[in-house]
Formats: sequence, structure tokens, C-alpha cells
Amino acid sequence: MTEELHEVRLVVNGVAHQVRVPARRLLSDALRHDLGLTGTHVGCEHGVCGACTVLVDGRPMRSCLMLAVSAVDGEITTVEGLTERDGTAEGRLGPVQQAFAECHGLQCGFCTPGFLTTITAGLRDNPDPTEDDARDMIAGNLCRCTGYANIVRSVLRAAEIAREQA
Amino acid sequence: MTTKLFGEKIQRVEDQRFLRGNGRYVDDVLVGHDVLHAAVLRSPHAHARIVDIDVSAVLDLEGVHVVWTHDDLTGAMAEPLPLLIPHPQLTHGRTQYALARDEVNYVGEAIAFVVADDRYVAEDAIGRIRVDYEFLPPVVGLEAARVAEHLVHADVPGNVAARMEQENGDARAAIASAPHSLSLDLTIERSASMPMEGRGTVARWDPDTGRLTVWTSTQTSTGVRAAVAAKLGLDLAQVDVITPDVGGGFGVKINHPWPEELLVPLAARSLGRVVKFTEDRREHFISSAHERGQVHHVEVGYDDDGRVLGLDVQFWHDNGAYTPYGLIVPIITSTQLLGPYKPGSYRVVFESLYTNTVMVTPYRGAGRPQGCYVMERTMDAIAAALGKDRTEVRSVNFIQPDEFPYDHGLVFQDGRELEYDSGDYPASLDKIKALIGWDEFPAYQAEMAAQGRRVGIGLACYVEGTGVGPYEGAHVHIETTGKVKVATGLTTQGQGHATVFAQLVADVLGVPFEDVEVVTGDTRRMPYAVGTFASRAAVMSGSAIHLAATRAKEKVLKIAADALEARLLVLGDGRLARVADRELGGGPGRLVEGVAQRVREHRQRAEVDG
Repeated sequence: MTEELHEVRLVVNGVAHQVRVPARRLLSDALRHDLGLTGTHVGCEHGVCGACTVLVDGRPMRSCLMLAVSAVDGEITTVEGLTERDGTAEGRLGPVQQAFAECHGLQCGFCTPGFLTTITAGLRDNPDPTEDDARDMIAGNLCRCTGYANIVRSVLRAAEIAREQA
Repeated sequence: MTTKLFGEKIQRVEDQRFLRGNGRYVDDVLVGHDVLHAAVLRSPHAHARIVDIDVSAVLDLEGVHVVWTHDDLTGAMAEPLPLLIPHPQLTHGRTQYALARDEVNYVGEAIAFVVADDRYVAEDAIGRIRVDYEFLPPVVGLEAARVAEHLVHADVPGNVAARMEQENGDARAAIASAPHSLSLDLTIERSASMPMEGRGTVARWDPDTGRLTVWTSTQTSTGVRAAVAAKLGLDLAQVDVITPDVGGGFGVKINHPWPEELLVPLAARSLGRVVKFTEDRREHFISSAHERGQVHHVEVGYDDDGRVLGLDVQFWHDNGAYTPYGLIVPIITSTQLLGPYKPGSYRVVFESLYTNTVMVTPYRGAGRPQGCYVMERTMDAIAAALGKDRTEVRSVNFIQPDEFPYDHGLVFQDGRELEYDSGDYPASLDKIKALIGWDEFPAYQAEMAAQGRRVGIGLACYVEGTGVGPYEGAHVHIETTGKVKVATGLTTQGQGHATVFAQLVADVLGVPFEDVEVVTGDTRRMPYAVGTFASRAAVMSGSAIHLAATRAKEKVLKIAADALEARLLVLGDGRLARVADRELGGGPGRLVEGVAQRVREHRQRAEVDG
């Protein structure tokens, strides 16, 4: 039982990668295990928890519900791609990341990458969210540690930081 | 001295890696290396006898390296998993096997274990294993367990794992002679821990050193280490267990060893390859652990003020198919039920019953929510019966500030007296009433009613026994570079230990916060520990770290004072400062140069280190 492998070109965080994967390989597994980008986490594997959310052409997508072979045409952004270049090796935290740090928007960190990518896209659509908007923005992501209050604060703070930086 | 850090609000050191996607959770370990992946065949039936398991369709599958059933296990691995917390009243404790032998007792129970090139192939293999079952009637729910028409374990009469009773005073007599009495039946359904990251284990065997390294997503790395060593027939010193970043525990990861925590290391040693198991969400739903499921019957007798004269509680605890974690959860319910109140007399009786469902581990509150629910519903019921304000009834039942320490006359889950050290419950109640606007609420309610809206208000009081023992340890090591390495054995699931413990040490040693590095849950660095649960890390490990840092500081000062022939030295700003030795030409607070060299050469160093 040898599986047919497909040559797939994945553009992730601005870098093109070539991988050989079976058709059934999930994008989440390809990112994590084939490309070693383990920042994207897999929480539920059925599209409920949002931990695996990445941006495909800027839109939030569940990487656990997407096949790697179907991501060939898109530009993928993972949590590793949210930091900004500032001349240092590690880069500077992006506005959403910075807001989470300031507002204690995370504890165990497992759900965090999905929140960061989701909110990054959300603030692009709505740069000036109300608290209700913020709650709506994160309604598709689950967190078991925080109780969400500090995540909502982080959304509002991220919008502020983005405005300050604009 | 440096500014005091303890209690200060600072940014967590953990967050930088979490926010950048650089956390290291168990499924991230050895990514990009040659790793094999495991999958588990789990029972689709709640109760069945295993007649036959046919793995022939899997043996020749390309990419499959291991197919094990119970028949393939030998020695200690073939024996039941350990009963972690035995109790004299747990007369019929039962634990499962790493892989089911002859019988399955819940949907999800592990039957066969496959290791393959990747998880996809491993799951393909699992799908080809054929099991013949002879169905047995399942016992589901406490009612069926109590009726015991069918038994979960043929050798456990009445499905009763344990019966336990505690009494302080004569509750039944007090209720019989009380001016008023009530009875209530209160039920809570089951719920699950459900951390965002499921369970997971990676193991690597090094034949050159004869050592096994196990990474596992656990709340107790030392517990897993002991289990792996015992089950695989290794010396404790041959097993290193590392708990990397953990994506939540909530109790399900305090139970150990899970079957995979033994099977993965066994496979790694057998194959000489790295083996990884990452539980998926479906597996977590069906095969990990639950809590909460209990049915309670309350009899209470009280006076005209609502003062409880006698409280008699019977309850039935659904412990699932096995009892690896003993009676911790129902014992906590039975003792912490009392909360801030002092009934005139109290009797509690519980039975812990088997059902054909997943087992119980202490989950977020660990039996306490059930107890609190029962007590607070009882308080509300008394208030309703007397037509009194709910806070008044609670108030008359409070232990008063001048009554501490208060001994409830019961034995807590840790085997010690249930004694409260301190508290001021009337003050707490006054505060919450003011904060929530309790006394103004009826007016608000009327105002809302006029608008056609119905609003309600409720409150609950509880006391939580946390920071339980028996011990934690700490190791504080000052490098010659001045960096401080701190290790404690309990594990971290996002509590921010690396930040909080570094604050403690930086304060004691007077070094910059950035120079302190904290490692948790790594048996190579601290092999003696209990684990992370019951809000105990800051109390137990925090205290141990503080003591260890203080000892380290004493050593530094003793050696340095002698080496420098100075009488009074203090630590500050990461350096030694001589405070009051004018003979060496220094003034108060002046830093001493060349300390490191002089201390290194000093004769007493070995003595003090010893």
C-alpha cells in the first residue's frame, strides 16, 4: 500500500517551500511536521476550537480542515509570521502579540496562535472594534485557561497599538 | 538592594515564546527528526468480553512497526495499572490494563497499540484489526449502578467500590428534634477536563547510555517516571521524564500512567526508534477522564433563624469503570461541602460506584463544586422555607472570625484534620453584598419588572482547601557567571511558574530578574516532586524555592565573608557588597572587586558546599 505523493509548493510567511505529501495530508500536519512550523497548534481536529487557524491570503482558515494539496495557490501566514522585522533575529512582536503580552491574554499558550491569527485578520476588517465586536471576532476560538476577559481586552488594546503605529 | 520583585506586576517570561509560536509542547518534540507515530484501537462498546483479536491484516502493512495486544505484554506491563491512591475504605479498587485483557469496561478502553511511519498509516492499521466481542449489559448512570441488576466487575458486589462515612455529633438525632427540617435531592451530571492540548507522550531510548528519555504532557513528571521505571523494569536513574510546555491539564493529566505513557516508552526501547503518541480530540472525548457525576440526598434540621442543627448528607459518586485515583473526589465533596458553615452536627455517607464509563480524575475543583452546590442549595431552601433573606441564613451559620482555628472534626482528603486556619466570612459576605448591590436589588427588580423584564440574583459561598502537601523541593544553583539556575519538580501548564519563581529568587539573592532561569517538571533537574494540582505550586514549590535560595545566599555570604576576611556582607544588584568593613578600605555599600576569584580559591568552599 504505497500512497501516491504530490509535489506541493506552499508559500508560508513569504517563504516558498516544496513538500511531497499524500493527498490526504492536512495542512496543519504539513505545516507542523513537514515544515517544522510548530507554532500552529491542533486542538480538536474538527474545526471547532480554532487553535489551528492560519491566514490564507489574509483570511482565517482552519488548517485542520484543509488539505495541504489545496493550499498550493495561497499565501499562508502562521503565528510565526506575525512578528515584524526590526533588524533583530527574533523580530518585534506584532500589535496583536504585543497586546496579548500586555493584557495577560494567555496562560498555557496552546490556543494563542489561533487567536492571534484570527484577531489579526479581524482587525484588518474592523480596525476600531467595540467590546461586542471583539467578542464576536473571537467567537470561533476556544480557550480553557483565561475565561476570555483578558483576550477581549487584548483585542481592544491591539487595535490601539495598531492605530498608534499607523 | 534591588527593587523588590515579589508581588510586582511584571510581564511573563513565558509569553515571548508562546506569542511567537516558539512554545514547545509534546507534539512539537523532535519534529523534523526520524519519529514513528502510535495509534490505539479503542473499544466501541461500553461492556464486552473480548473473544478474539485478529491482527493478521496489519502485520504485513508497509510502514507498520508494532502491533500489540495484551498477549504481547509481559511481566509488569501485563499487570493492571497502579492504584495510585489506595484508601482503607476503597475495599474494591480496580484498575485497567495498559491494553485490555479479556474484557472492556468503557467505550474508549485501549485494546491494541500500533506504531507506524506516521499517524495516518497507524490509523489505517488500527482500522484493519478485527475484534470479536461478546456483549455484556452495560451499567450506565448512577441509578443503574445502585440497582446493580448488572455488574461492571463480576467480583464487585453491588458495583460498590467504596463506602465511607464520617460524622461529627449526632446529626440524625439533631434533625429529628429540630424545629424545622427539609430534604433535598440534588444531582450533578458528568463533565470533562478537556484541555486544549490532549494527552501526548514521546520516548527515545539511548542504547549507548542505557537511558530512556520520555517527554509527556503531564501534571506529574516524577510520578510518570516512577511508573515507567517500574513497568519497564528499569532503574529510576535510567529514566528521565521531561514535561515540556503543557496546553492545559485541569486534572486529567494528574492521573498516571496512562496506557500510552507506558506503551510508547516500551515501543521506543523495543524498536530503538523515537516513538510519539498524540491523542486526538475524539480519543480525549471517549477515553480520557470525567468528573462531577454525583447524586445527593440531603436531610437538614434547623431552628427559626435558619441555624443548621443537624445536616445528614448521603451521596453516590460515579467513579466510572476503574479507580486509579482512589477516593479523592468524593472525600473532597464530603468534607468541603461544609464550606464556611458550622452545622451543629454533620453526618456524611457516600458510596463510590462503578459504571461502564471512563474513569474519574479530579477536575477543576475536584469534588468541591458538587459539595458547594449541595450546601448552597440547602441554604437557599432553608431561606425559602423560612421566608428569610438568603444572606441572613448564611450569616447565622458562618464560622465566626474569633472561632479560628476551626476544627470540623472530619478527616480531609490528605488524611489530616479538616481544620481551617483563619477567615472572616461575615466581612466577605458584607463585601460581596456591597459589590453586587444585594440590598438594592429588590428595587432594581421592581424597576425591571415594570419594563417587562425578569431579573434574578444568586450567591454562593465556599472554602477551598488548596496548597496541599505533602512536599515539593527546589534546587538553586548560582553559576560562576552569576546566572542563577532554579529547578523544581512540579510541572507547569501555563501558570507562569518561570516568572513567579524567578521573582522570588531574584529578591532573595539580589540578582536581576533576567539572570534567573527556572526549570519545572524535568526529572533530570529535580527528581523529587509530587505534581501540579490544587493550587499548590506557589505554596509548595514557591516555599521550597525560597528556602533553597535563602540557603544559597547564606552559603555565598559565609564563604565570601571568610575569603574576604570581612565581617558583614550583603548581596545586592547581583554582586556582593561589603557593608561595614573599613579595614579593607571599603565604605558602606561599596562593591567588592575580584570576589569570584577569591571565593573560587577559598578552602572553605567545599565544606560549605557539602
